[in-house]
Amino acid sequence: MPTDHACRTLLRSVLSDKRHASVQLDNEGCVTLTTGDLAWFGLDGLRLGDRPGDSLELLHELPLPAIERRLVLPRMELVHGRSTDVHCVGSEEGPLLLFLDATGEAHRELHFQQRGNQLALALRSWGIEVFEERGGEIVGFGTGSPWMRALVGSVGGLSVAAGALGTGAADEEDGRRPFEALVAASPFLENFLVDARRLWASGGRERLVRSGEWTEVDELGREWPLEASAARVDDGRHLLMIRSVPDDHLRQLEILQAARSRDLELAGLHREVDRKEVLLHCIVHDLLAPLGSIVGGLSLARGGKLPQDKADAVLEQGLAQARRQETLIRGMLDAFSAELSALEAFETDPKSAPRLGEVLHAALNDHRLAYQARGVELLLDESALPGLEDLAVVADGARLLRVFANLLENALRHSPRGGRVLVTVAPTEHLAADCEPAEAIAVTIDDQGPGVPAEDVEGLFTRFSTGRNSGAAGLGLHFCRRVLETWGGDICYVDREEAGARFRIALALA
Amino acid sequence: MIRKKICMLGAFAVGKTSLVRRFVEDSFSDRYVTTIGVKVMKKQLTHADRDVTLMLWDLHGDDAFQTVQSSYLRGSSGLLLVADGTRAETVAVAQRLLERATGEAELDVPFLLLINKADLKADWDLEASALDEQLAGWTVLETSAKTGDGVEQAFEILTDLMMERDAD
Repeated sequence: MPTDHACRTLLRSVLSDKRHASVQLDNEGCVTLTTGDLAWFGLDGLRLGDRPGDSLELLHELPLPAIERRLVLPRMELVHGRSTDVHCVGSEEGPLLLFLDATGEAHRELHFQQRGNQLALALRSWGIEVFEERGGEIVGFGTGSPWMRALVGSVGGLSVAAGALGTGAADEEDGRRPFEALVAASPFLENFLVDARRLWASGGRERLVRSGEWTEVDELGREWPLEASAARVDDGRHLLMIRSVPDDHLRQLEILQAARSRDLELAGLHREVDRKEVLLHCIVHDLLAPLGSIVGGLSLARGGKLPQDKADAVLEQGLAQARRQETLIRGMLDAFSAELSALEAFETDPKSAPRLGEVLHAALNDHRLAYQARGVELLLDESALPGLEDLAVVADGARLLRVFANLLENALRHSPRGGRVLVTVAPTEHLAADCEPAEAIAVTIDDQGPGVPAEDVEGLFTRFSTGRNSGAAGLGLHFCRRVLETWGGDICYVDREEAGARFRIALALA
Repeated sequence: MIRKKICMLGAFAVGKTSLVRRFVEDSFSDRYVTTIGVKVMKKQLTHADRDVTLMLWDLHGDDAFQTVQSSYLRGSSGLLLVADGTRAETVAVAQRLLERATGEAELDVPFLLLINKADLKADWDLEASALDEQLAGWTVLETSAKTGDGVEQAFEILTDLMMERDAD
């Protein structure tokens, strides 16, 4: 309890930044001293010697002077549209002191404060003392307790409350016992009360039980971390204390959060390192595989003992493998170099945008020999879209060539000897971007390979996906998706009833 | 009005708060903010023409620094165990928490396991087959608090299970 007069403490520590006024009364309720900004409260007509009813209507209904308790919880009044607390305090120094404070809050705020006041008064009638604390010192009483305001849906700051539970009659206002009304506002507190009552009913050694922290959210969406404790004291009183979680504990939690965030980052880095190790293994494997054919072919050709046609075939095979290696290296560079800035550049102007027909024919021509070498037929069906040569699409020409190259190489790699790869160009309604259907073109590539297993489809376009390309780095399809999405198009894998894989890309017309 | 208490249980940073926020407020934030203790949020819905209020107890993550008190689980009608698909070890934490709920807290209520962060599926380090073996008999759903995928469905399924349990 404070050693100083409660009102002076309030004036000093709570209301220094608020409008306030105080009126000192004698035991008859006669005004003996006034301080503060009376005019702001519309009380500038108040005179020393006035009695209740003379000039201050507010004095009419105040429980003066028959106050035995040292502290009386405030009443709330709306004075000239302002929220005004009227505190009446019995002073050991003799005269009673009437204390006024106001914040000029809006009516809505007043409503919530009023509810808090009513609740505090109800608790008081139950013998539950409610105090407000700052910095370990009790500085006020009752209604300003922010935990209570949070519970009834209002606002506040740091506080502690302690109550001795009574067993009196029901609260007349809502037909519930006030303490029950209080805890019903908080499911957490309601749950904790089970533990508290268990403690209070027990005769064991245990004197204190804590709830652990919980958070109440007020109507303004602000969060209030709180902690409740229940205690059994020697004089038989049962205490329930609720306090805001101290700042130092909040700081501990911040440190804990930082530690956890670091843990997550560390785990993420470990995963990244693991993935890169796998990737490195795949890259080495991919680069090594064609090298065997190249070295073997050159060794055979070096002696000059092979017939010309066989030597040509060996060299052609070596050349194809070298090109494959080159493609792989380019793919890796695409995926790992300063890809973002490079990938952002593309043409949307119909005059300068790449011509779909030109790029597609170039890609087909680049791969025709490789297809022949593998005995796979490569066909283009552009019957649904005449005038392909002049069709400008939103893309970057060089990158679009790489997209087709990736898909054609992919199809060849999975095609059986004697198989067929069919490239079809047609208008489409399928496009991820917000384009009119008529403004999109679909290019599908069908092969007669084994297709993509269902479990691999979902991750097919992610980086390092190796489902269909076991042992490969899994970058080609990822590259395709990245650039196509950058251009407002997309790529997908389509299930086919017949055997084989179908990849479909969609491009917007420039 | 029927009131059902659901506790969200799981390791730290698996997305419990984000799932509740997605379900209650349909919002999401990428910023990780650790939950201080317990936060209770409400969501009202209609189930078979009956008004149901779900009291969602978002409990802090369980780890070496903070342990979930069994008393928080008292009165629960259902549990949502949450794991992070990118951290396989969080499934074991969910299992441990369920053991505590059924053991210490003596709960016998419906539960689901949510594998959250489905939007990061490329980064998942869970094997579906291993999960099936490890969690035989569990109902496992994939969710993403970020995109909202599977979130509403998870709460609906659990509500169905809780109401069915009542009917029994």
